[in-house]
Order: sequence, then C-alpha cells, then structure tokens
Amino acid sequence: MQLMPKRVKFRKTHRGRIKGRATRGQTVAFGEYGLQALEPGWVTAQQLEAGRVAASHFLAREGKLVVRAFPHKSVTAKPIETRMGKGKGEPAFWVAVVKPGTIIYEVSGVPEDLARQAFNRIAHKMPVRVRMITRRI
Amino acid sequence: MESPVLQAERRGPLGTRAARRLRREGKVPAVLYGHEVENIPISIPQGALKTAIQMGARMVSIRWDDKEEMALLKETQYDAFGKEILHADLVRVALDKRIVLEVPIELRGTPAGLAEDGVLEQVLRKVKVECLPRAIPEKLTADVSRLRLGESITFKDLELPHDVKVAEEDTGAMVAMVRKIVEEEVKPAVEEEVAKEPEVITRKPKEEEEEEKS
Repeated sequence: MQLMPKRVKFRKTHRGRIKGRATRGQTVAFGEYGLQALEPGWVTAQQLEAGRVAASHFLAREGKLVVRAFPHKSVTAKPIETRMGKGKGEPAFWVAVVKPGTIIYEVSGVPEDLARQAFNRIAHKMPVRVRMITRRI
Repeated sequence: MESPVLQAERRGPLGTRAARRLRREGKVPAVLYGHEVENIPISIPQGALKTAIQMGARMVSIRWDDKEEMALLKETQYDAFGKEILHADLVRVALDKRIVLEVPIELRGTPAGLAEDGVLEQVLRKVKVECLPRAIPEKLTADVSRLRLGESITFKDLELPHDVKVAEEDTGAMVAMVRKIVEEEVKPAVEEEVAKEPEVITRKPKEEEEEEKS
C-alpha cells in the first residue's frame, strides 16, 4: 500500500523549490545504518514503497527497516491529450521532498555488509544519489 | 585514556561571517566556558579535533596563548552530511570533581533468543553516568548472551567500572529480545483504493459552496 497523508488542509500544492541542505532528519535515529540523500529531489510514494519492498525481501525478515521519509506533497497532472487551460490538474501522485543530507531509510539488527547490500538495492530505486552512513555515537 | 592536546587560537571577530571564514581555513569555531570564569571563543584545527573524536576522547587539553586548560568535549555540531564539524562546546572541569555525561552502551555476546526466532532490540544506546573526569569510560558493556525471547535487561545489568555510577533513573528495558514481526504480504491494491484521496480538512460543506457561488 502506497503512503499518503490521511488528512490534508489542501488537495493541491504549489510545486515549490528545494533550497539548501537538510536541517532536520539528517542523523541516524532509529537504526545503526542509514541511507542518506546527497542531492535534492522528490521521492514518490511508489519509489519509497519499491525501496522498502526490495530491502525487506533481501533482508528476509532479518533486522528492522525504518522508512524515515513520508510523501506529504501532492503532485497534480493533466490527463493526456488535453488542451492547456481549464484549471489545474488533479492530484496524480504523492512525493516526499528530500534535501541533501536527509535520511530516507534506516536499518538495524543486521551486520554492516547485509545493510550495505540492502541499501544498494534501495539505491537503484531512488531518483536521487544516496550513500550509506553509520550512526554517530 | 590520555587526553589529547589541541592547539587552539583565540578568536578575533565573532559572528556568522567570521565563523564561516574560519571554517574555510580548515578551523572549527569553538567556545570554552564554565567554572564562573570568562567564556573564551577559540578556534581549533578541524583535523586535530576530528582525530581526537575518532579516538574516543571526551576530555581534551586546550592550549592557547601559553595557557593550558582541561575541558570536556560537551557537544559537537555537524553539517547536513555529518562530515564536517561546525562548532564545538568545551566545558572546563575540575579534575577532582565528579561530572555527569552520556556514555555509549555496547552489547556483548550472541543472545540465546536469536535461536528462538527473536530479534534483539536496543531501546537505549546511551546512558548518563557520574564519574571523575580522569576515569570516563569509553563505553559501557552489557552481556546479552543469556537473553531469551521475551526477556529484557536494564541499566542494572551494565558492567560498571570502579567509581562509575549510573546517573539516570531506571525507566525500563534497555535491550529487549522481541518476537520477529512477520510482515503480511500486501495484496495489490484495488483500483478504488488507489484512487482514494486524503480527507481535506478545510473543505466547506457543499451548501456553503453553492451559496458563495450565487
């Protein structure tokens, strides 16, 4: 099941602009290893779910995987072969806004090499460059 | 562990721009304070400070202008990527007075509960301890090899070195052996479910909307 908010104040949002680096959610908080974004971008709910499935299948119930990003932002699209105008399109999908430094996933309870391999599988599903980091004590 | 000596310089101009200039030069802006003596803004070479932290040093000896003081590395701020140190807080300490600080917890052994299809969950990773500045433990270890499914250990089970006390209230499990959560295979969502939208909390009732239009 793809992630999306339960309640929102407004259905449609402006596209916005991603400026600067992450000032929140940039440290490993729940696990021992984290997957950190290195560039700004939108990670869709579908990509987040694909990453989660890929990693949890690989880890085969070992350890614990935490998804730290949540798709709060709706993105609209117009139907194909529609003329321009006639108002804004309908929400098509949901995205998580990711800034450089944001931790997207965390893993705990597995050795480092397994975590690295799981993150490598997730990295292939991500629209931004990522790297693995270890919890700072 | 011996405290590393850090060669510092007293900072001239203060503020954001001066701090940024220092960082560009490979120095970390820091402040030395405490013991009701004046606060001294200093700068420390980034490399030396990083090495000291990697070595696990908690106490450092700060040397500047022919003076030397022992200080506790209280807090370090990092950039968004967790690579560069942006700022360091150094607190003066008296070597004969006990201090309270956080120390990481390390687990030792393979828990017996792993064979019973359990997962080891570490709830707390740090603990506040009270000790003398010269006897700060690098880490505290806890033996988890006897931990069976459904069991947990608390601060009481930590192996404390001589003259080190836990300065935190025991709030419950520190490490627990829990049952694996078996994820149910999620059936592919029905189209209706996919099309479902979140509830809009600012949406007006239809009657009001029509009134406004008219």
